[in-house]
Amino acid sequence: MNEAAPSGTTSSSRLRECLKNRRVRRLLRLILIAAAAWLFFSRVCRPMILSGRSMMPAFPQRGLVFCWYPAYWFSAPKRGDAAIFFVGGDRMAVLKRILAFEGETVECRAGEFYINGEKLSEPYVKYRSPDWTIRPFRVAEGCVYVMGDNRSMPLAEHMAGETAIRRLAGKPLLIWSWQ
Amino acid sequence: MNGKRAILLIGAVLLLLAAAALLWYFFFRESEEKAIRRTFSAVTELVRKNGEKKPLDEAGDFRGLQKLMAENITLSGGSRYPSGDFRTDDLLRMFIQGRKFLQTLSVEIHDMEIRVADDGRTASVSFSLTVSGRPLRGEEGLFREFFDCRASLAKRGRGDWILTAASLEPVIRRHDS
Repeated sequence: MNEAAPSGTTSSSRLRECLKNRRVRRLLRLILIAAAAWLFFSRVCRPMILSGRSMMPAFPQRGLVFCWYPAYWFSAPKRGDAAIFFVGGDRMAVLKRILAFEGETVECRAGEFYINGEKLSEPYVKYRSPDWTIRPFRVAEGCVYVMGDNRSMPLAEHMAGETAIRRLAGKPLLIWSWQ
Repeated sequence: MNGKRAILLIGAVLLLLAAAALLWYFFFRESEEKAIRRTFSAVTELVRKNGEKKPLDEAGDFRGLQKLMAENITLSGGSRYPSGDFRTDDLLRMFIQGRKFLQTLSVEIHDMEIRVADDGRTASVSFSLTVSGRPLRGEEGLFREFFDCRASLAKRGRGDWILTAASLEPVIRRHDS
């Protein structure tokens, strides 16, 4: 009966001794830091490579951007937000500007966007082409309408349109350009 | 006595066999989900092109894809891609011909969700598809397109799953064309 107690005490004291060891403590600290870093950079603030000129000039053609996931954890996206959407699993994403929400009518005349018939003020757009035309349509349920900032490109070259809101990942943060 | 021992022995052997069968069933048997994933990974492998393909390789891809699809396949590609019932051979011939104009082609499948019907003979799969490639000449750039897909599969006799229908919807639906 009494034999079990000393062996239990021995193993717990051994563990305590082990934890007192500076090397073990350092290793544990390292493991904890690595786990926290992995969690942070994969679930909270994920680095992504930016490639493409559709969001110029607000975003560079090539660069590094961090996707800030908590941006939409407690608040809904707003019109004019630059947001990151997952398009191919969680490995492929696009950075676009949110122009309209479900149920709203979108139209583009001479390069200017109209939401529910009202002209949209877009201070982030610096280059515009008067050739752009999109006939009015209503944004489907559960979707948002997204578009790039660079309107000097042909509309056909833009990957833009209606996409499911569930694909919204977060907001871009800390842009670093290597252009 | 001997008869009793023999019965006990047979009983023990049967019990062992039953335990082995159970073990195999739970740990080693390929689940339907795994078999369906195998079908899709085979399709992505056969569709891929990286540089020039010899006619023999193309014929191999054709035959490989043919085995993974039903004789007729129903496609629904929205306004930009073909829709309707197709003979798989015609569809594959078109695909192999079209692929000749590409230097590289690859497809990636993400977020796969598999639902096997209660009868275990049919399944529906939804997934995100990324198609990327580079044209042989002309357009200089790499193209990349993203789709939301839904596919129907049927189980063949030997437990293989074959594609019977597929629908493609662009992840970002355009309204300018």
